Amino acid sequence: MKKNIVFAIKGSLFLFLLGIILFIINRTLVPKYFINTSWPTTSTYLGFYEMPENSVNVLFLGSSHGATAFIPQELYNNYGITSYNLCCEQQNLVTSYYWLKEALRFQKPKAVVLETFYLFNNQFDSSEPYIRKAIDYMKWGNVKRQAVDDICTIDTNQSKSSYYFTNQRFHTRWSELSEDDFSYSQMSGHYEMKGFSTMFNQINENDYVPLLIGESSETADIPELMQQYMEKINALCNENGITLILVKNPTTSQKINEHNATQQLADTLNVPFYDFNTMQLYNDIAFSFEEDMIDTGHPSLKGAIKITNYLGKILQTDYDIAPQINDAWEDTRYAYSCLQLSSNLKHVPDINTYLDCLKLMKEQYSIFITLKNDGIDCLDETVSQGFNDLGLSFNLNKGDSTTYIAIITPENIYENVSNISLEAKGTIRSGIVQYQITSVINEKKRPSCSIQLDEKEYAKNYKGLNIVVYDNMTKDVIDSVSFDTASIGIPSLR
Amino acid sequence: MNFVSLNYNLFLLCIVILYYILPKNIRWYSLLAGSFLFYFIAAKEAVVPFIAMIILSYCGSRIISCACTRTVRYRKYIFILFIILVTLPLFFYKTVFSPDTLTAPLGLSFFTLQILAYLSDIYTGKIYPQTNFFRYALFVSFFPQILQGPIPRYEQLGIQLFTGHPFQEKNFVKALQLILWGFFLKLMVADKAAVIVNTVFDNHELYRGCYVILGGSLYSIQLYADFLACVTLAQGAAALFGIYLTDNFNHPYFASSIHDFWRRWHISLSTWLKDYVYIPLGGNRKGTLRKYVNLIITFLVSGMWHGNGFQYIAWGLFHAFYQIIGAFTLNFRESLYKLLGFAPDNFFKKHIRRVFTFFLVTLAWIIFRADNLNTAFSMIGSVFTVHNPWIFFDDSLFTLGLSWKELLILFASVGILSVSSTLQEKICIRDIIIAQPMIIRWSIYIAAITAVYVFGTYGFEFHTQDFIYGGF
Repeated sequence: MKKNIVFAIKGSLFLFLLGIILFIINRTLVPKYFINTSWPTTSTYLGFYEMPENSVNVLFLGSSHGATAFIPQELYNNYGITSYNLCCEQQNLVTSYYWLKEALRFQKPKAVVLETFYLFNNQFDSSEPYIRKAIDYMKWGNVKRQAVDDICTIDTNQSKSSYYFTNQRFHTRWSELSEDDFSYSQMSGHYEMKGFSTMFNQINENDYVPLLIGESSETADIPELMQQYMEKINALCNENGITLILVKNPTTSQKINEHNATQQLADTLNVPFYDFNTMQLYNDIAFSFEEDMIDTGHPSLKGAIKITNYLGKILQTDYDIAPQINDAWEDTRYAYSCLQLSSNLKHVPDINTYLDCLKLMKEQYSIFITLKNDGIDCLDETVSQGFNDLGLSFNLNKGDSTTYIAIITPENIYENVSNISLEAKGTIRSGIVQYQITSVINEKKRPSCSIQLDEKEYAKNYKGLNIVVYDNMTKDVIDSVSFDTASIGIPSLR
Repeated sequence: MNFVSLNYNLFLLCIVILYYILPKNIRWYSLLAGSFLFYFIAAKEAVVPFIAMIILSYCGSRIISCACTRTVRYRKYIFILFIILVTLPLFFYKTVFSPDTLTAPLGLSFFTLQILAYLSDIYTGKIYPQTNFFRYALFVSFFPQILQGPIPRYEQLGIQLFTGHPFQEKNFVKALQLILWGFFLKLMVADKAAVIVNTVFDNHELYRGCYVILGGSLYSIQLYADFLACVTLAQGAAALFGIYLTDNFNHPYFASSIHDFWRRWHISLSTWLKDYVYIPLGGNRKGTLRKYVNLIITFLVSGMWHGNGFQYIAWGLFHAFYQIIGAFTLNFRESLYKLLGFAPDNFFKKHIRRVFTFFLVTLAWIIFRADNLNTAFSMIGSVFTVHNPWIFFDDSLFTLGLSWKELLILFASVGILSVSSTLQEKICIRDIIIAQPMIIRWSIYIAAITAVYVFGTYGFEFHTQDFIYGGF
């Protein structure tokens, strides 16, 4: 008997140890979408749980069209409204419903803004990876259990057990694990954008025509499942005294019949509907599809600011969401301004402005500068001062044989000027990323330069100063530019 | 219920707990209840015919026994009558008479042979019949072995089932080792190889020549690993109750001839065929010609037992002819080896024979796996007519469903299987692990569990393949 008891104790200890190891493995294998990715779903949902209880007054729900359109920090900065964006890629109304339910366990929002792109989507099955993105980081509890039950009932290809034992779904990811999979504790703390997904590019083409209300009375069919969950969302909002607001952001896929159907549904549910595709609203926010969109359905940062500010105005005036001061939003003002700067950096043509931006962000960036010397006569005192402000001496001799390299990281600054070829090797981010930088003058006086990070070339290798900017937070190169120091005005090339 | 499914393993855990909390003399009731519950969950539509078979064979065993002890005049005919009655369902389902839409009761092929052996052994007086109906029902239905064997003999299994075994830590741990090894074989070898095998065989018009060699070789490995996995899991599950099931394999791909292969492959079926078909037919006691005829009949039965397609019959006949031709050419081959300077026990000679045997077995497995005979012969033909050896050197292999990393895992797993098989011929690896200090033992177990957990072929996008022999 005693032997059996010892065996039971040893067995339990073994199972406990095994359980811990398998838990760590599961956590490593589940995909992570942090702020260094285009769609930081993981950061969105992990961050939500970090918000002080009952601090969020407005919640945003919906698909990627909402994730890129609603900026909680912009809303706070300009209107004092505390909000959180729970939208994510391909978030259908089933997922929206359960995330609203989950959110109500921790927050008492006064308004819920729902982006209605997925109201007309019936492709539930094809959304499996995105449903997983949204549900896997929901905390375990009754809501998640209900969500899993419902999702697996609707999509019979999914298995409930794979939500509980995530290895069933993700163990094959072992062959594609990346740095992020091993940096959970470091990256999970970055949710400064509160669910907003930043998009920088612009579409630069425009076949888009806003809708004219009344041009047709046709109505599109709303898929039964989505209609059912829209009603459930509305009922849940009513139960909790929340104002539900429907919003449709600019997209080429919005047709007049869908607008009419959504309006009809909104009228039935007695909720307001703001469609930024209608001529009036489109013009009210001075939206330009050409300049404010990154593709046919997602607004850029610039477009998102326009939409958010409009919503801020109506939330404050029409729905009485009072301004307030809250540390969780105060603390991220700087991060938001950094985001705006980062988004602008690759569009800055002037070297002095560029250096000003780098100066503001140098705590977050690693900056690599090298010279491909084909003349530096146009460098002036103002430019030199800009480099001085970055902590560099920048004492360049005005001669053809000058070579120059500089590396600025949050930890230290390295700089070298010479008349012979220069090379520096090292690492940033505590040894994680290798760099190699050169500024070369060969025997035939042919200059060249190189900036390699992890053996990948990033320098433009155009004449003049070549600069590569690496964002230590997003772990990515955010700009590579050269400034032609031999031409008047020091033009930039990208 | 698949042996690698969570449900089955939870079920097994419950039965194990129940078994050890019951008093020793009634522990076998938990096995009986578990076996019928297992059969009900796995194939509830077949429960009635299954119970009918048990009742029929139980009655048969009692009647044959009575007839034998009282030297009834027509006892032979009584025995034959029950043999026919018991064989009828198998004959019906395993021949071309069976409609495609009709699925055979779960484990029919295995428990029919088990019952036939039981009745035959009673008839020949080797054993006494089990008089307790429920004990007999447990013998037929014992859940770890009902799906894919090994096909047990009553004198080997019966007494073990009804004896209440005490809990013994060492045996219990060794049982868990077997289960872990079974998971490894199934998820790391068989089902991973199945990805490439299915690609090649399901698209045989596209994959010719060296693809067939690769697909065929991997199918040989898949089939072995799959069947060995199931038997190992069955042995592991039985060992949790202190019950020992016989080994069904003895490193068959180390065989140096087809004759040797059949001494190592599916041993419980091979010995069954030998004891109840080949020897009753006269075996090798009635001259060379009769011996070959008996061999052909035995392998014909073996082929038919596997399924109702002509490819199974062809596969059986292939093996019969391999052995006949092998016997005819034995002297010639030995002379050739001698001429080439190989000593009788030369290391290289042994391995040349092993490789050649594996090649012959693989050709037969291609017939076994192909959709039909035409496809099989077309695939085998392409091995000799299509010249594309570069597929082993360019990236073609990575287009067959496994990335290079997955392929590496597969080859490493096959390497582990091969090395362990070689070692296993001399030592017992499980005993060596058990003799290690706890930290080493636990490290080995955790590493093995983690490897299967991460690298195994299961879950989303990989529907764990049913055990191949479960289909027979």
